[in-house]
Amino acid sequence: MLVILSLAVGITLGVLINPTVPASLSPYLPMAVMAALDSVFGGLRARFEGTFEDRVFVVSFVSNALLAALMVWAGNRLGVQEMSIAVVVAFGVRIFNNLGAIRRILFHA
Amino acid sequence: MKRSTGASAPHRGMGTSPGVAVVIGALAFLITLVWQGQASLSASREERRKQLASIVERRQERTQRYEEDLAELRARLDELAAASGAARLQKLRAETELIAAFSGATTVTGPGLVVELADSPDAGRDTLDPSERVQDVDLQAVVNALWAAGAEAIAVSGQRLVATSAIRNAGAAVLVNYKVLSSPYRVEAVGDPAVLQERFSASEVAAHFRRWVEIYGLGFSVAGDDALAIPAFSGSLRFEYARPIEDP
Repeated sequence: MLVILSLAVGITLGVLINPTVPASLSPYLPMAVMAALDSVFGGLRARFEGTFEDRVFVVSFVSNALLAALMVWAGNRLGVQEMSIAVVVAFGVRIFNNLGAIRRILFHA
Repeated sequence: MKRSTGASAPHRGMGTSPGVAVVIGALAFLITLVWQGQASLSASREERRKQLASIVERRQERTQRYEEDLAELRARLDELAAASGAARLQKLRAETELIAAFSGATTVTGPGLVVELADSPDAGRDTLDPSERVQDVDLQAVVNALWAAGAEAIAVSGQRLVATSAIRNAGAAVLVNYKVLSSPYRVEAVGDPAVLQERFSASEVAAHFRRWVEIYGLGFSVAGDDALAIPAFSGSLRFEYARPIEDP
């Protein structure tokens, strides 16, 4: 219940406040979202596998998001404009791995 | 679900810790943010695209209007050129032609008077008696009388008289425009033939010549002509020092 509540609160906050993201930050936000999604699916998998830890989930969520944004920022600074693609690919692969694991657990296939 | 809630984490099953809840909320917030950002971005792009399209449309309309204006103005320009510009040009050309005619730069034709003067047939090559010859002063007097009678253009034996023309003796001959002329001298003057004839005949020089014909045997005849052609001045009209002044 708390999860659903916080989900609703987050969405309504986002809709109501609707802060205009500064243009300089706009490339990093999707990366952070990707990282956060990855940790969410990782957490879900851990939960299904019975190894879920609150602390790990929270820390990995924050650190993944920050690290992803940092990587893209550093890539931009170093002239690697396609760093965001690397982040997207890396987290995408991890998300699909986690989804695969969840699928195996749920459907035993 | 069954496994996770039942097997390994019974105490965390439904009751989620506040940390996880905050993280989920933050995630929802972030996703909403990005979602909306993208939506507004694409919306603003669409809006911008529409704006640009309308600007292009407006500019095209304006261009077309300008082209129409241009065509209209060109038509008017042609009209005006045909009406006033060409008229002015024609006037200038007519003035130029008139000036050229007066200054001796062009051949002029018209009716007029022909005065022929000749030395006495008795005046041989060796005779230096000036009385038997037509002198420069005689020609000058005839020319002056013709000008006074209203001549508009005069030539002496084909030498057009212009602003720099001089008529003077050079031995037994007469120089006009530095060309050596000899008897008989044919002075052609364009003007009203009747008026010229009347006034010239009444002039002093004509009276003198009528007498000199009898006394010295000089040739002298005056005749009207319907179609004289006074040639253009053949020398160079160079003004090295004289400068026209600006129109006041």
